[in-house]
Amino acid sequence: MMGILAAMVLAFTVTACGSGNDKATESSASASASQPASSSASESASPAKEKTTVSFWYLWGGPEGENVEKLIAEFNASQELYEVKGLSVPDVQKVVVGISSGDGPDITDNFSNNTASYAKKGMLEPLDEYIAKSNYDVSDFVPAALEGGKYQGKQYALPINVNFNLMFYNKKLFADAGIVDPPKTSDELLADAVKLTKVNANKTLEVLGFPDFPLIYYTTGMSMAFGGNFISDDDKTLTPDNPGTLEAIKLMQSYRNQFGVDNITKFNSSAKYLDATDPFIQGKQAIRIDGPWFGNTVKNVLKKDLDYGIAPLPGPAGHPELAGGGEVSSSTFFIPSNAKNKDGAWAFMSWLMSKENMTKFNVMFANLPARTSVYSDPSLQTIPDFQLFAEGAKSPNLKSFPVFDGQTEYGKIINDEFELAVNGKQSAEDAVKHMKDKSANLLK
Amino acid sequence: MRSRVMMRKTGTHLILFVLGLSFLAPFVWMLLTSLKSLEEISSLPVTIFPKLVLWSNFSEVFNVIPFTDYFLNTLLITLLSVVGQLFSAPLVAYSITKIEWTGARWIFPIVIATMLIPYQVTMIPVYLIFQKMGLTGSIWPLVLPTFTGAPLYIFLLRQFFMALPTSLIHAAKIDGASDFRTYWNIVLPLSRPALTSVAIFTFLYTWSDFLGPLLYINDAARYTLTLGLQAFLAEHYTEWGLLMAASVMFTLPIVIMFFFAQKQFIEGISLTGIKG
Amino acid sequence: MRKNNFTGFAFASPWIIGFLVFTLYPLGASLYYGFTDFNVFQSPNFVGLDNYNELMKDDLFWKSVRNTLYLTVISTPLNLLFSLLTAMLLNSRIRGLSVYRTVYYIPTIIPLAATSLLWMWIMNAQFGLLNAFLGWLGLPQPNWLADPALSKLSLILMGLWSVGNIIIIFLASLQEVPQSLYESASIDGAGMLRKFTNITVPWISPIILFQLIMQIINNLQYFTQAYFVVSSTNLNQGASGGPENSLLVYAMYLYHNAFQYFKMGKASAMAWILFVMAGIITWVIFKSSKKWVTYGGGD
Repeated sequence: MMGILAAMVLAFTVTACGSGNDKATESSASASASQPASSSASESASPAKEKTTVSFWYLWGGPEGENVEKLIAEFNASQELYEVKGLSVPDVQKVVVGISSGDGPDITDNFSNNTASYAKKGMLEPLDEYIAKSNYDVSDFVPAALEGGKYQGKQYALPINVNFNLMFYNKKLFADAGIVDPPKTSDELLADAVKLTKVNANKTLEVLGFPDFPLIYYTTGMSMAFGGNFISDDDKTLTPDNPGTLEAIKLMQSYRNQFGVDNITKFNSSAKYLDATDPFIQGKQAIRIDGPWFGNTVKNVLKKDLDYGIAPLPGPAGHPELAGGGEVSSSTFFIPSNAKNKDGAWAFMSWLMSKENMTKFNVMFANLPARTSVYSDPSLQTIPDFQLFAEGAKSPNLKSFPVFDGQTEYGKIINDEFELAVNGKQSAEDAVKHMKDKSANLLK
Repeated sequence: MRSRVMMRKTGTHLILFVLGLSFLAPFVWMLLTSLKSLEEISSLPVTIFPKLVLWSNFSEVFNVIPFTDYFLNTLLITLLSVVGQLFSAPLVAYSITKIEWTGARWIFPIVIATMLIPYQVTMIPVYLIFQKMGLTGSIWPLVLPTFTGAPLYIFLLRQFFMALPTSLIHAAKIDGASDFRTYWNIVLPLSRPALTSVAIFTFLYTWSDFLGPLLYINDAARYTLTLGLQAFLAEHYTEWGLLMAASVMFTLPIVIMFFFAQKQFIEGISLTGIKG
Repeated sequence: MRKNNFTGFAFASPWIIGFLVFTLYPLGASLYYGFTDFNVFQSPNFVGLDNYNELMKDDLFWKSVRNTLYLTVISTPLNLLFSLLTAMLLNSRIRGLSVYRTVYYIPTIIPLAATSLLWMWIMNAQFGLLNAFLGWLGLPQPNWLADPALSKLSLILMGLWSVGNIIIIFLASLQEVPQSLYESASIDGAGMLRKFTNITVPWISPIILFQLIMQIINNLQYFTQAYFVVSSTNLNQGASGGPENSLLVYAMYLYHNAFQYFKMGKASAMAWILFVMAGIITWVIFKSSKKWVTYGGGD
């Protein structure tokens, strides 16, 4: 027994030492092994000539990851030069560390709010040359989304979609409360929310009237919808103490004071976003701030028959010119500066970002493509609320969160102070003051 | 007098019984939840027994996450770690208990001292070492350190070896056996109970480890069960019935192992508690 | 007997290599990184005490220190006391000992990941067993893990479920206490309390000391359970610390700094602060232990 053990030990140590060198091939082999359907499809299409490998790590997992693999297989079958190998790495941190070790992907996806900090660290390959060389047309991209991939004038990442939220409302609950139209201003939102709320005998909430869940969609989104901007027009000063944020906090405070912070947190903490216990899907939340994927999940994934309407986010009272505002972000793709097969990565990126494939991608994910020219494509109309969102995307009042290398920390400071304020631990004025003070040194 | 003793015994039993129930209740709840439908779980009032027993939650787990893959990944890392500790810990423990050499005096206090170093203190440089070696993303950062002996197991085996009669070793030496022969042929076979404890604890620790895999495993296809459970939890479409079914399946191997090796569990635990 | 340095060294070499590579070098390296702005991508620049100064001014750092100390200060004595009392009940020569022992021990072998999930479900404010039970008794039903004031207490309660191994260790040492000591104390007219303070505690004090230190060290590293609770509520928002950051424990903030913000320098500084803290606490306990720990009682 011990002899066998010792032999095993020896064998393992030997393989351990050897595995350092061929780790890359080993891991890509396992990646294709884990996706038998797609890899066999691409193998059958591969010609005798050697294709170079492009390693693509993506943040999606589960069924969404399978969608990505379908597109990869299509790309591999479509041309003779490159073989993309996909790997599902659903943790941003792991992708970044992978890149830092030089053993990372040739191309990967991320959220637009990380671009600047990565670019500053020298992690990203500028795309301008590739775009120029291949005469790639980016003129029909939503400008704000394209902007999110820029840092100091250079394009480091390309957006595949545009994410922003609209207001979903439960028509039956509105009818029961005798409300005809969805709220258009902050005042109407609060008044309607109070009417829509139903309280149990023990003071806990039966129906949540306010778009209090999930909180993160409210925080910066409603601040911007109320006309707030988180950076000054000259991009030199952070302005978390803008009137929009102040109003967003005060509005939620008024609602929570009326029904009790405790009762509302209890309601929120038992609810899970986008599953069957999601309160909006159960008919227990009257107003919800959410994106185009929400309707798709309700109708196409969970197959629930829920009668809801969609309207722009309410604006600040007395400022009709600010209507239709909100926050835009996007999922972007980039090529790390230490990628081994940059040409292959660009070939795949430009293929994926083409009108046809960007459309396919967004149909799968129920998102709004970053190119506005495809919005009339029939396949996109299968996304339940697509036209409403396409319409909303035209609003000039949509803004994006400031792009700079400290924006993650900035976002965290805003969320933390916002939470304290709406939990009744500090006033709205103090909250924005603390945001201002704590973020003072972020923009150097 | 007699009745007072009786009363005290009954009181003790009562407390232990109620305590035992509250220790068992969470398990029962886990099992019961794993058999409930999503509708039942998310409706009030809370039901204790499932209205409709839904065994399909267990098979559904395989559809939602690649459970078999995660299971095998975890098993591989765990078994290699057990091999690693069984290889290294007794060697070191032997060197500080049964060999007369200068280092013996020094190593034991250092071993004890390293037990007191929090994992986070060495985490980043160790991470960077493995990154330089190109091993992050593989299982080796989790396995290789086990071949150098964990302080707790060295400590446990030292306690055990100290109790082994030195006369046995002297006798072997007089017969001309080398240190390695003595170790291999006499000490290890005698130490089977302690080695079993080391194997069990290593198994338990590695099977449950979360931070290690969180740091080192990238590829979702190579996730361990703990990472898989966390990813499952963080995913949008979380269902408690499924989560509980997955937890039951994750925990079951360990509970089975416990019932087979209960004695070694208890003895090993007691051994680690003995004063140093 | 002649010294056998070569053989000894050979036998100890796996540990010696491990100690050098996985302990000693990392200790030095993290001390060094703590004085740099290392971010994994660019080579480290020496920045002196900047990281330490930044930490002293960082609200979240202090929040994480308070959270971890709160957990440690409440959970450590609670776990030890509860375990000791339970072990003493088990040690009263009752029938069914092995059944009880098994029942109390099993929760400790459940992986923390599963334990966390299970308790998050039990403590669910609306659909959880705990609140349903409190509701039947007509008691208030708190918001356990989602209430910033209760979230850490909830984790402490969850931790009480997994003290089985401490119970076993205490039980084993209690069984070593010679019964004759108690009998002669009874003859002298000593009550339960006096037997406890004069016989039981001194006899097992070295074990209590060891468990005390290990519990503190473990609590200072508290991570997994908090990470699980936080990741259920966090909607992919990255570096979250739970409700009002009430679950942002030290190890979690260190992890965020290292692997979310890639501030390896700052994280290394945090690691060294933790190391020094753990060292001081252990040293103080050892020093004080001379007053209350009796050696030579057992053996």
